Amino acid sequence: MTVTLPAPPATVPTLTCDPASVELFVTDLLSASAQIDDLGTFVPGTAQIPAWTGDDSVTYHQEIKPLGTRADAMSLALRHVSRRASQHATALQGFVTTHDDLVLRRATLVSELNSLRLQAPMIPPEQLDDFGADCTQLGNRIAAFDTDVTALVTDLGAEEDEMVAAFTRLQTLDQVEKRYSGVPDPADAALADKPPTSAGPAAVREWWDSLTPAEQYAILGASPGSIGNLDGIPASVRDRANTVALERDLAMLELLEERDQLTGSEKEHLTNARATEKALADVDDHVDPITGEPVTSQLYIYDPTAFNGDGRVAVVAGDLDAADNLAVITPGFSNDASKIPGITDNALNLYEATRVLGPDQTTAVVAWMGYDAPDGWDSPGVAFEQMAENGAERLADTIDGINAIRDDDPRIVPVGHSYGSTTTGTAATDHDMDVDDFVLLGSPGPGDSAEHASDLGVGSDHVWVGSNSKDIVADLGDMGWVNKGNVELGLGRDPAEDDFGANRFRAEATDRGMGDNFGDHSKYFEHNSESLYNVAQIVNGHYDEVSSADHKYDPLFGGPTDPEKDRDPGTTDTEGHN
Amino acid sequence: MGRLHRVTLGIGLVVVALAACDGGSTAGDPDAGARLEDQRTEVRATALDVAPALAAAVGGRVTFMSGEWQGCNIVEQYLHRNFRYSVSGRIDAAGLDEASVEVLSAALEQQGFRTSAVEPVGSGRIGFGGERDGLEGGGTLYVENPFVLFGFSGPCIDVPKGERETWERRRDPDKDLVPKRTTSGG
Repeated sequence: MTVTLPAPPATVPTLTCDPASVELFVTDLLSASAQIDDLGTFVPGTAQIPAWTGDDSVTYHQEIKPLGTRADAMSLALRHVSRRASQHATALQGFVTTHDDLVLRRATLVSELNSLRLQAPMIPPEQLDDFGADCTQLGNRIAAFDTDVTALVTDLGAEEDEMVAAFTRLQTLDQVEKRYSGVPDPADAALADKPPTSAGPAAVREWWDSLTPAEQYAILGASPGSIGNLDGIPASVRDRANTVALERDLAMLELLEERDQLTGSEKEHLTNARATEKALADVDDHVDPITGEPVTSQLYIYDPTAFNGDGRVAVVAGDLDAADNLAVITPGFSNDASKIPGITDNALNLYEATRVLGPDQTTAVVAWMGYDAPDGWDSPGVAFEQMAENGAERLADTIDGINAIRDDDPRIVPVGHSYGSTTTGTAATDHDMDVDDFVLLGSPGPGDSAEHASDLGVGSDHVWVGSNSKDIVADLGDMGWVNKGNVELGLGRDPAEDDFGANRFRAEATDRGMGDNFGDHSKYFEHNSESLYNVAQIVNGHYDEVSSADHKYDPLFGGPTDPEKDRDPGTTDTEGHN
Repeated sequence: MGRLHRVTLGIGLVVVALAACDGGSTAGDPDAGARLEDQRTEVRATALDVAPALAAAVGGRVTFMSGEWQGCNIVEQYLHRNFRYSVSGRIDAAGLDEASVEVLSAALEQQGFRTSAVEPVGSGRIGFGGERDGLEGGGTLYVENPFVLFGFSGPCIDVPKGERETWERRRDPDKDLVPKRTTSGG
């Protein structure tokens, strides 16, 4: 009997492709489409001058008309190819996965084949049948593998051909006009049915889901601003729309900067756009500590000229549409959109800590600069609750929007720092928010309406306070019976006090200052700190792992006392390095 | 702090509370930039040398490994006064269990690290670590879904005040030592 060893498996061809760079190209195309669409809107709109009459006016209006029509056609064409490129990026990602699987499969097959080769000379005759069966079985698997390798090469070639064809069909202006001139923009009809903001995020979600993929894509290209900050739209869609808007802003403003034509407000606009770009790049640059994959970034809010130029921006570390646990960090005094990289660093630290402490759970952390915090000329607002009250409404809207885009029931934990804890506390007391826990860090008070932790609406067991004993700002909340609240001043009770009824957790820094100081107010999101460890455990819902701290108290005689001052701070591992 | 004092402070300081920031008193090392660059080279070389040895000790492989600069001590909002270079990664191996952490610690010691005691660092996690020539190395074994996270870091170096912002935003364009996904043919 003769047994034939199977032939070695085919070589897997080297695959060098980067789906992420194709996605960037898609965004560039969409951004270009949006800019040209603006021109198409400008011509029949602002560019019309009805008051101007006479021959010159007739000539002018006749001359610009084709420009508008051509712009609309080019916008549609760019959108078409960008959509095809987006499909190409998805396909490439699939090819990369298939390729990597094939490389692993081949290694296994080669190892098994080598093993059979080594055994072959030593097989006794009575075992030849079994050995032959093993060879046949391996041969079949190698044949199936070879078929899969061929399929990968064929499919990749076909995909590339189709991609090239999509571009070739729209290479010249003639081709574009022939195909798209006079064609109605599918975005127009879809946007006509868009519910008003007052309808709420659930209605927006319903509208969005009712659109065809082509209509959804058309809106991204034609009018990203109409959905980028609209609660009820999925985060991944908002991210794409806002990224298109960001790219458009950068292209326009940097050109003006180059020509030295920026106005004061445009300079502020460009500062906020660049800060946003930097924050997103920071997230993209980080890898998930558990998987080693890049952390997903999402631009959830992008309104760089809001609040008289302070800007309104929210950057997410993680996938807001899918993560198990969601945290929303609200920063405090002296923050605006230009500070979004720093706020995002805090979000990244929290993201990493939650992953290290709960590797089976996924997280998304929002760096939410979504309100007008006291800073610059309106800094005195830090002494009053008005700005927190305005911000609270916006925070509640954001939380409602997140709930609307999720069909499941993710854990949601708003985390307010400094004056942001006043905003967060006020959102809790003044608005009905569907969240699981609240975390207040370095809080000067959670707002006047929060007399007790139970006023925040999630049960006092789910209100958590991090207040380090050297943080001078966390000392500003009212305690005892003589305080600013008696004369309608200040930002509310000290939530770390025993009477407030919240859980106080350990938040001392190992490098804490000697006396009360401002530096310790900024240490709550530092890696390997007690504070970050505990906040991450709360976001993960690991309540038993939270290390509790004794409350501050204010005896009838003597001043307010903080037992944490006498405790030696510890370190905790939030990076997995020990 | 006395009660009346608190009230006064609360009314007066709430406006100016965060405006004043501790910028840190140290001038920083004028050679900090060069030292941090050198540290990057040293930490990466150490990680490339030691991490595979740790993986080999437990019969596994380094799944990914990348490095970055990190802030150490924060002195004001979003600004650290000192920085260091740090490499992080993961080891996967079949058959990892609680005893493996002792093997990892021994392997670290064999690489010249002065190791500290192996100890639990939280629910389901056991830590190991050590120090060699001023560099820290160590990791965490996850008991329930066995894998190991590890890291190597240099000492914190104070940078001049005017350079803090630059280092805060500094990224390593070539951060991957072992990228997560390889697309080489086979």
